[in-house]
Amino acid sequence: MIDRFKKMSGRAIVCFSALFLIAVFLIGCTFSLVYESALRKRGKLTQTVYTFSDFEAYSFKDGENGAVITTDNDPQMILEGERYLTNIRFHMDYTVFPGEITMYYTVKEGQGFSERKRVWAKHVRGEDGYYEFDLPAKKVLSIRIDPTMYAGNELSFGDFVFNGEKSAADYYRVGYTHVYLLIVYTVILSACIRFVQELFIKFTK
Amino acid sequence: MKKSAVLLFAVLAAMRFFGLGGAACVLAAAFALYALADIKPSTAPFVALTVLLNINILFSLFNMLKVGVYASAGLSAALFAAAVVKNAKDGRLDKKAEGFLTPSVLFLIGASALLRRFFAVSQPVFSQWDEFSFWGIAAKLTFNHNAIYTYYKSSMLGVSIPPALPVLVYMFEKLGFCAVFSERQAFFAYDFLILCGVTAMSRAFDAGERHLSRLVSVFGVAVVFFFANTGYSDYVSRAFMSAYSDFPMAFLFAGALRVYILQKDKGTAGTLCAASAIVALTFTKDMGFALSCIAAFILFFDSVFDKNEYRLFKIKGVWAKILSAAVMLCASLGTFMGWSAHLAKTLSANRTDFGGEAGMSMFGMLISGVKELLIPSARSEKFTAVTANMISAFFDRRVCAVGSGLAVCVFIAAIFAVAFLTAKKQNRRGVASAFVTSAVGFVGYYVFHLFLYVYVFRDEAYTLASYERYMSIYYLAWLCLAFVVLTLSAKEGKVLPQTACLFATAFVLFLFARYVKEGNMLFSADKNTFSARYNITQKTDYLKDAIEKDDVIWVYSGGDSGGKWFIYCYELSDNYIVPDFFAAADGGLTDEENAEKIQAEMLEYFKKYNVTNVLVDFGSAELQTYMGDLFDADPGEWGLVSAGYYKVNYTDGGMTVNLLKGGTVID
Repeated sequence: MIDRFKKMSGRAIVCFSALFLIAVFLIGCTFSLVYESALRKRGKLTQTVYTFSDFEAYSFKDGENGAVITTDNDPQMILEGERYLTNIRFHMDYTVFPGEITMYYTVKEGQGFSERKRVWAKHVRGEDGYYEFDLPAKKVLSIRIDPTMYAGNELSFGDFVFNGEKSAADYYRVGYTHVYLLIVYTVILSACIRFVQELFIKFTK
Repeated sequence: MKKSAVLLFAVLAAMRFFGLGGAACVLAAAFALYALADIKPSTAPFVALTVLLNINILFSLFNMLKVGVYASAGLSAALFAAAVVKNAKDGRLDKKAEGFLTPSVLFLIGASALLRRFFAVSQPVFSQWDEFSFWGIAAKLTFNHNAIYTYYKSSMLGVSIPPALPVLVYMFEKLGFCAVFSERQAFFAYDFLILCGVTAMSRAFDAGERHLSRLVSVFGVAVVFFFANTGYSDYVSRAFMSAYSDFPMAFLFAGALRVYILQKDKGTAGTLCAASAIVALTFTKDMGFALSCIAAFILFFDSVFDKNEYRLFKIKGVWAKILSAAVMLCASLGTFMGWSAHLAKTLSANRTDFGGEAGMSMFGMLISGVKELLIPSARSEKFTAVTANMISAFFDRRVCAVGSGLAVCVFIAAIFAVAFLTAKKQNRRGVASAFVTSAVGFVGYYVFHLFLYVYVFRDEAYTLASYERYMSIYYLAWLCLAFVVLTLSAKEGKVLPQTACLFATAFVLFLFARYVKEGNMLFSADKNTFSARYNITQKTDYLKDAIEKDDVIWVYSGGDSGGKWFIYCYELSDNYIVPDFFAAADGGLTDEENAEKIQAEMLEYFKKYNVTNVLVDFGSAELQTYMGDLFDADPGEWGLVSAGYYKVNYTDGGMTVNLLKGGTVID
């Protein structure tokens, strides 16, 4: 096997690296699928629906027709309570692009919200105005959603669906970011493998 | 014609076709440099880029920028054709093409294509303060006028800053067939310069140990993120999506060192290649002159300890080494003085006057600074306070992902140590020289910034404004120099320096992965990343049919610290945006009395600048209270999703401000 490794061509190393990364991605997705399915079967991961009024909201004031208006550049919506969480999907209308929509979460008692435990919202492809936070299923104690970075932004929220049911295909969704990262990580991994190959060649001469 | 040559032609043609004309032009010239002048393939793109850039800058100084771009493209094509014909005749074309397409050059081509595609999808735009105050708007004005900004009036500040980067962007915009100014093409121009610098780092592995070339390329790219992210961030990192000059300067400085140190012939070829980079560096920003002098200092001592035969043109030995340093210093000084002469001619400005708080010339600053540094009793309170802050900042302030300046220096020293221990005995002095001279250069750079903070900066000197950005220029170049010196040991085939290369790369990547989460990454950028900018773009798009080319505009945005003002200067670059008007209410007066006072000051100010129009981006209570009765439509109502554009009508002893267009800008 070492001889085969030493004889691998550069092209073979690149192909191997790419396939390896794709395999890691697929295994990771499959693990998420299996783990979350198990949690749902055991009743730990349940779909729950919340509305804006369920959150403790800071830096908002009431607007018209159920909308809210942010009053400073750091509005926050906090929801306390221990739960397993993997996904939050919600609809949001806004008057200006909200900037970066983020969700912070805590996993330990006494732990404050920090940038180390944070997820960025992504547009739900094909569904206008829908965003979702996706993270590997974990037990969280509290969450905080920062829906916009601007004061004076009028926001209208739909329901917040926690842990909505996902199809199997949802776990394997691939976007532009995945493609770019595959290219970049393939370069890095193949460079490292090639380096190791040369070490083997040198040491076994 | 065999496959390597066909591949080379196909790549250049594809790049030209897909809007990468500037990159194709540089690569064509790089091939010519390799095939005709034996400049090594990894360093050739960087050298070609600096030469073409310098030619364009020279043309721009004589208001012939457009001619210069097409002339330099023609030159590149002619040299490429000459290289192809000569080598085809000699039957060496395929070998040369194969030799040129090293792993690092292929990396350059691949990374360029990837970035270009990514920018086409994500469409990033300028979003940082100084992109609107100078770097972005300078590039836009240069494109729109086909001339650098010293040749026409604009509301842009900082017109004394040299034009290398705006000219670089212009080159890529024009050769990329951009009909209108493209901000993502500007980002690409900068990134291509950086990638050429990264490619040059792999020179040691052009001939042998090619497997390390890709590793070096990964290190070179990762190190940009290493310095762009000092810790966790809420926002998408702007690395590779920035028009700031810091990273291009770092790579030009590092590149000047690399293309010299890595040349087989350090005499003629090394000196000329380094001189070309030094000219481009000095033309980038005033600090480039200081860095160029440091580069000449480092390279002089490198040549002193180089035991190989040293020849500059027909001169040999120690005189050749002295002449080499003189050539580099003259290249820098000549560039500096040339730009100064240009400013004196076009703007009647004295470039050596730094202005700032002390209002002194550069030489005055250096003299005063050295005096206060060496004589403690002569130090002002500001000098003492800023010195203390600079010293503690070296130990405490995070400048990159690994931590403070001290941490970076330890990392750099460790790499130099491995390079020293694993170098051949006759090369060890060269390694030691590189470390010591670059360390001395760092001290000089640090002290120079101390003087800048004390004599040029005002209150922000005490907080060492932009400290991380300024220091990252030297640290990045220094780290890359250390890594390149290590590769000179690694190319001998020894395991230890090669493993050290891997560990250094892995260390940088580990910190990158720690701090740059998926959401921070370049590839996660989308419209929300640039939403603040889009908000203003929506407003200017909405108002543009009411704005005429000769309008002189006062922009008001309640609560703005200046950032929005600069964005409006950029968006309305065809107009003159007057400096902001400030008037303070007097607490001892009533609202009516304050209104009368402020309106009188405003009238005087408007008449001074011949203001014809007012744009209200965001109203405020102060605007309504003290100036509201001048306006026929309430200016206080404009906010996040609305704006108003008014005409100023001067009457006997006063003025009125009448609405031309206003409303909600969002559908």
